[in-house]
Amino acid sequence: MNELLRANVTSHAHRYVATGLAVAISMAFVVIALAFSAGMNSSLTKSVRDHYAGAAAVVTLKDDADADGRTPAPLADYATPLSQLDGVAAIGQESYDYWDLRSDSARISGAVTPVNPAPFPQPEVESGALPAGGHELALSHAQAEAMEVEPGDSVRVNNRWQGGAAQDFTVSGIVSDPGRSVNAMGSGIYARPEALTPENTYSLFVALSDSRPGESEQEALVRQIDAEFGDSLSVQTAASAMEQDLERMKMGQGALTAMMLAFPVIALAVAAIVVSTTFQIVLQQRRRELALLRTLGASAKQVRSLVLRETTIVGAVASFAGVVAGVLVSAAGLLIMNIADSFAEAFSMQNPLQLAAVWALGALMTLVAGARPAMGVTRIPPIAALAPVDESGVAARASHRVRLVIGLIIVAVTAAGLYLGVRSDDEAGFLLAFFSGVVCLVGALLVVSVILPMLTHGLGAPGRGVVAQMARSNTLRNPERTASTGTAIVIGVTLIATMSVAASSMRETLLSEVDARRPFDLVVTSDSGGIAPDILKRVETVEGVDAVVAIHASSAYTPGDGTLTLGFDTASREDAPPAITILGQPDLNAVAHSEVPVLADEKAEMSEETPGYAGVDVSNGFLRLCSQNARCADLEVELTDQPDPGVISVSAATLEKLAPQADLHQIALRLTDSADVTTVQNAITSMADNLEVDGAAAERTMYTSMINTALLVIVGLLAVSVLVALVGVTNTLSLSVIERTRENGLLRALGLTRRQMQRMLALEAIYVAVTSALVGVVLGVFFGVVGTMALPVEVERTVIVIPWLQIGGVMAIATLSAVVASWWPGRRAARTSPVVALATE
Amino acid sequence: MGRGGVLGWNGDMNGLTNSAIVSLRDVSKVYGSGDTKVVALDGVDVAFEQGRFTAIMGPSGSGKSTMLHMLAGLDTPTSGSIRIEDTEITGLDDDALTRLRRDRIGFVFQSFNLVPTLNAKANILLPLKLAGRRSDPIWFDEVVTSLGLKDRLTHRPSELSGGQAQRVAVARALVMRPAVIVADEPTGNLDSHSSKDVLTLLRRAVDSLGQSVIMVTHDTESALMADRVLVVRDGRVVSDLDRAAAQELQGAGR
Repeated sequence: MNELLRANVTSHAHRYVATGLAVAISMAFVVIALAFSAGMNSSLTKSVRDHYAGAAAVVTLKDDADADGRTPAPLADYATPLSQLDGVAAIGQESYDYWDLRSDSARISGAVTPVNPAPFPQPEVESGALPAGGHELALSHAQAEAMEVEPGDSVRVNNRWQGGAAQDFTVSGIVSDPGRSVNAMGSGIYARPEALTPENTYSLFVALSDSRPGESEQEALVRQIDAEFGDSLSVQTAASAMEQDLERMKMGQGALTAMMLAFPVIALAVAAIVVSTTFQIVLQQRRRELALLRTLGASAKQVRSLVLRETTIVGAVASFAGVVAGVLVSAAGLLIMNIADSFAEAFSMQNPLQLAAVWALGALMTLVAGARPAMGVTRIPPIAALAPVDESGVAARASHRVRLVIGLIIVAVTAAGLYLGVRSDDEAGFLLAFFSGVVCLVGALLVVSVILPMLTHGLGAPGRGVVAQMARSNTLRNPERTASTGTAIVIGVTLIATMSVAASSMRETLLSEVDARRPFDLVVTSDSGGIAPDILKRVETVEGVDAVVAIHASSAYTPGDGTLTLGFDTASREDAPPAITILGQPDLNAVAHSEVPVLADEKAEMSEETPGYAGVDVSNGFLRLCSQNARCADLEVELTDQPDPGVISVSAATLEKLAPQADLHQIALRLTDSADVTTVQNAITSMADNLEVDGAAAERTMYTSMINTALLVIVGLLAVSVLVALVGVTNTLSLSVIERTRENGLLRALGLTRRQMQRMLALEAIYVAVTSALVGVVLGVFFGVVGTMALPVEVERTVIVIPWLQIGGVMAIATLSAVVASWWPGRRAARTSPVVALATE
Repeated sequence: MGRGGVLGWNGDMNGLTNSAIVSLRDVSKVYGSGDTKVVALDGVDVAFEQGRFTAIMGPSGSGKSTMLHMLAGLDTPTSGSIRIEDTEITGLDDDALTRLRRDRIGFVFQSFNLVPTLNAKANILLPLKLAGRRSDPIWFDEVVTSLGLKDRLTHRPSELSGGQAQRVAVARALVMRPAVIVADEPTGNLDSHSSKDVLTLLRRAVDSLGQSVIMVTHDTESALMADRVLVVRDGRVVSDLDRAAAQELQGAGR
């Protein structure tokens, strides 16, 4: 039997190539996913270890430090006393701050990274030196370039956190960019910790003169600090703090690994369909051969064992190839992504035991997927197997009907779950919808696997010409094959379409939320005085600015008679009510992302508190607003929920009439689609010291890029399962070509050219792929829409967007891939010699 | 045959000047090389006349099928040249050869004659459709009527009997008015009644339509229906008989 097994595997090897490929791709995918999550893990572990390098103890303020009502001293104040303890070499501060930096040519803002003294980790200096004094700072290479400064230059620094006057800092040096490491953060501004806002220090690292203190030294230090400062500070050893961080990280890692493995598992499910189909076809083609064995005296058990062992060998070999390929690809990937420094390190990140388990999983999956068709073969008695068999028997039909009914029942039941899930807004509703959705997909796939051949046949109807008609009929000749080949494609396409509909809808929902709350891309304001009038013209010409609207304002004040007079100097009378800002509200719709109501000329908007706050009388429902030369307008009062009582909005025209000299107060602007927010922001803030630029643009960009990146990664990961499905198309087609050798020979004899033969196979593939992709898109759009509606997010309204362009792209790729998938079988079919074909009995 | 030699090629053969529809000149076909070398055809010279029914007889492995494949443009010879009507086919590329088969040669094979996914009518019209040619409805009607296929046109091959399937194949060959109909053991899989039926059809095609037919067979009964019988053995034509008598063919097929 072993000899026979060997002979079988060698002679049928070519039939198993595509199956092997499908198994190998999925197993490689599993290995890569595991390797990357291990790589990330080790890289994060390393970054945590780096973070605590040099530290012996970590000190934080006690949580209940302000329990007695006194404001506790900031943690930074303990740096000096701590440094005076016995054996303490240095104190490092963990701190954050947000600064504005201004050079002659540019202005940047960003978070500041404290530079702690050695033995704490130091940034790598490119030129100059690290900041040594409180008025020195270092910049990353990129930031220095953006600001056009060199070591020795001076920059003006505004501490955005603290406020206060600007200070001059000297650039002490340029340091390397943070690089691509996973834990790269900060914005490339480095300063001594004492230059940062003291209240923002959240922990202190204590270093001993022994740069690698052992556990007992660390504990001794902790006891010492606790004895001295135990009332207000809590302290733990660096080792235990690091342990805690690593613990926290591991929990996150577990979830990440599970998520990353979801995609290989989907690919694996698709591969299982491909494998099962292949064995079904191959064994059907070999019925006579196996029946011959039976007639020659092999028992059913022997034949079954032969086939199962063959399946095992195919699975083991393919799975092994996949694991090896996965190890190589992931090693290269880890190296390219800088997670590993050398090939040796990249390989060492792979756990051999895990690899062996993955290999076994692949072999087992193949065996399980191949077992059912293998069992089927042995059920056939020798004589029946020797006679030519009609493939679509009555039994098959019956099981189809059962499958269809089961599928429809599942869909109906889960549809109810989906409906309930969508109707409720809480997390439980989403979970219900999610699980209903997953089960519903399974039910839908059962239905699809029965009706797909009919759909394929229907899709082929418009095909003109005898070649197209033959291709169409071919898809119906083995409905089972067409169904499973197509179903494999449906899975991937459905998930991709679901994801892209959900992502696009999510993005639009978030953006419409941003639009409603903050309708303007950017608003230029001033933090002192009005905006210089020439700024408007300059802002208009900044690249990336699409449209601008100027908003003027003037201060007003009541002379004491219940009216308001524009342009009065309030400082002249100390007991006077505060000045009110009269905002001239123009039509902002030219720059707004959502409709902004236009204020009528005869109206004034204010909050409920405004009349009392400003000392004006609006009891008759009207506000009298006068210019300095006593021209007055009575404006109908509208109370709104605006937060600032010191602001009254009137129409721009009204303000213009009463105060033609009003200051330029704000500029609202809309960006072009391609504009870079930071560039525009920096260009405008660089125009004058007092300018502030803020708006929804950064938020919009963040949401857009966040969702786009997530979608890209997910689609990329799902694409692997589509790839496996297309390998399945190649597989089914080439097995069909082997089966149809005689028929193809006949067609060649009757005058089918090679090109027509290729076209016939390509059309066959296209009919299956396009029908499946269409079904997948329909299912995907449905699940995407339902999923988006079920998401438990607090938004005004959920916007459903169907990304037709992306979906069109999926269809186009499916069609194109079908052509590619048919190339090899088509070539083989086209090369069929009419003579050889006719000679085959 | 093989007696005509080089001169025979020039039209001096059996006095059949210029009426050869297919002619083979010094055609050899060798499979394999070295120890496994098999000479299937060994320098065959033969011409097939227009409007006649020629049978090629010989036992299994005699080279008769190889000869048929060569003269129908299904396979290319190792050496020699083959002419179909006025076209020298030995130098043609695959596409040109395919077109020639499609347009000028009608095929009837022993079995597996029909494309299983197409019904009888579509099978009959297949070569015309592959060529993008329109069928002549009157001619089509005449052919199907005379072959008794009128009420079988919508049937699939699996719904036809062996005899009916062969009749569909003959109809397919006739409907395109080829230069020659090539039949490879057309009765090999049929019972005697159906065999007679198919042979009569081929005979009638020659007699009443002036169609040329070349048929390979190892069956004496079938060969007796032909105008001319070539007996092939070991890759050579060993006898060439006009209106052969039964005893002349004794043992030719074995």
